[in-house]
Amino acid sequence: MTDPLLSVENLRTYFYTPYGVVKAVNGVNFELESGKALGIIGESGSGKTVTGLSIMRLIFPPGKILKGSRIMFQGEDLLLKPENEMRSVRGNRISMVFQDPMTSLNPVFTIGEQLTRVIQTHQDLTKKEAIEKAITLLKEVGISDPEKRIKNYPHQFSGGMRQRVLIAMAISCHPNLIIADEPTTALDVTTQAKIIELLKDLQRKIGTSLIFITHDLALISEIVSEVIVMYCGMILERGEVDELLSEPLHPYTEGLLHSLPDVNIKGDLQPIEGTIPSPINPPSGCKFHPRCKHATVECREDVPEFKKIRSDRYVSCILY
Amino acid sequence: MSEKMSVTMFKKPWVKDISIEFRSNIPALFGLFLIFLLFFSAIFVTIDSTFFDRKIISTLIADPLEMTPDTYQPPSKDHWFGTDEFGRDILARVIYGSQTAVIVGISSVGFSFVFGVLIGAIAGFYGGKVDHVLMRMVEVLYSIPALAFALFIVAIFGANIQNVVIAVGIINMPKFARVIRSEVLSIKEREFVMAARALGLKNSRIIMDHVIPNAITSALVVATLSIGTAILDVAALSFLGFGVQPPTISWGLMLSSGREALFIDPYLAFFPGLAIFLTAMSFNLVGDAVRDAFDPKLKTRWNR
Repeated sequence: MTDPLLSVENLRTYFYTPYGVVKAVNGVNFELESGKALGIIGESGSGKTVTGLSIMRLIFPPGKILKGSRIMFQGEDLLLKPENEMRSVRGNRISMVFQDPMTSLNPVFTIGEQLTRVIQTHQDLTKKEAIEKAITLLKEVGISDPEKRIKNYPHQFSGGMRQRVLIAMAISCHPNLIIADEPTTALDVTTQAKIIELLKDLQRKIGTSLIFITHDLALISEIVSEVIVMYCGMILERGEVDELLSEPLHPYTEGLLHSLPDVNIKGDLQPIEGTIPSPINPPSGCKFHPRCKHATVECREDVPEFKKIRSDRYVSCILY
Repeated sequence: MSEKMSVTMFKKPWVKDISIEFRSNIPALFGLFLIFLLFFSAIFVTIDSTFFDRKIISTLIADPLEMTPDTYQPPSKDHWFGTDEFGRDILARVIYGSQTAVIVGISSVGFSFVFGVLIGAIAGFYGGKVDHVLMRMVEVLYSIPALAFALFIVAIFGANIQNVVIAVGIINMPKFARVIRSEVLSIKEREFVMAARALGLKNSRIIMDHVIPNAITSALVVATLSIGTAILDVAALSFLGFGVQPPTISWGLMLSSGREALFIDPYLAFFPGLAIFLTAMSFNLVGDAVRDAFDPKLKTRWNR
């Protein structure tokens, strides 16, 4: 068996706030093979984004990635790399697309200036070559008339176009891995579909792997093949996307699916009871037990084992 | 195509903001006019003194350094602003003094701008200990009476034009550092800074390319407002005898010699005083307008 491109082992990222320790990511394990796409879903505050940022090593005080965590990427542990080597990984071998395209571009420089700067940081190109490359990239992400558009400022672009520009920046160095952190959340539905289409296309074309972080279950089946469900910094369930969506094992995944509106079926939504627990003082045992209708005394006491149910299907719940 | 593109730096949005503001702000236009006059006069003086050995001004008005027996003359047809205790023409001397004012004003503000912006940006961006150390130093500087500190520096290192510039530059620097730091504190939380990090940019690059350009407009406002103060400070130092030294002509020095003759010949102090006043005022008027131009709260949607 070949080594996976990325393998995250026992990742724990804690934030030491004055009010207590927030265990944003608490023992996350997963692998991602080259060329594959993995989805991470979960509610706000479940640790999806922090997982992404931890892989990039963009965690700043009071946050800390704990000792014992390992992030193996192309055979090296990213957590052991010195900062200057890590900088040549970021944007070059791993890049990230952020949630809000409206604020992820610097308002005082043109699109072209920002794109060429990124290109020149990682590639030894002249200004002229970098500009040509920027134009090609913009064409690739579907921006019409790129020769003219690179002289525009971000405020002259719509949300969807800005996200395209950010994707262009992310793919500029043909990274092995792209982490897309809710790239469609700030966009309207039709634009969402186009951005997803674009990401899928690009992933196929340049053969990069993708981690797609979202809370939108409807979108995720469009783009990824495997899904991880996160809750309170832990993985509750993992499986192949269609299987997981059609036959959820964990009560939490089931609850998530029931809270999804369906235009064909009129009727009440069934949201999950309660709210996501306080991150400083999380519940004991299974983190989901206060909201779970199957909860037993056992759930309150022990964290259930992350069991393999069948091939490529894992769940952390005492029901199985 | 690309050749043209690489030099195409489109008009920055703030250039537009400023031109819109000045079109409707009459006092600021008046200030701008006076500043142009000041710069014109300073450039004229520089050309006249370096290439023509004061010949142009001597033919037009009088030699600002030539002593004549006509001391303490009131304004007349021959001497529009009168003459001083050595019979030198005050108008010619006021014009010559503009050069010193401009050089000292601009370079000392430039000094405070560069160091203040750097210190403020570094303190704000890195936060923590770096911030504490730098900002406490800046605050110590702030708490020392400005003029006393400038006098101290000039007294130790000698009274010449460079030291005056540096002394005034240092005392004005805290304003820049504080303004920039507070801007940077909010800018560094914006997502494009994280995006820049995720793209592998160095901290120094992020500060120079992303943080400072977004914070610079407030420093520009402080700069325009500070030039007036800087010129006043230099005049004050010169007035006290620790600034520019004779035979260099400076408004502060003229004011100082005018003080002794205040009851014999008030014009001697009046005209350089007026020049200092008008200069400080015009920079303040323009500074106010620049501040208004950059204030998003005063900006209506359609003039963007």
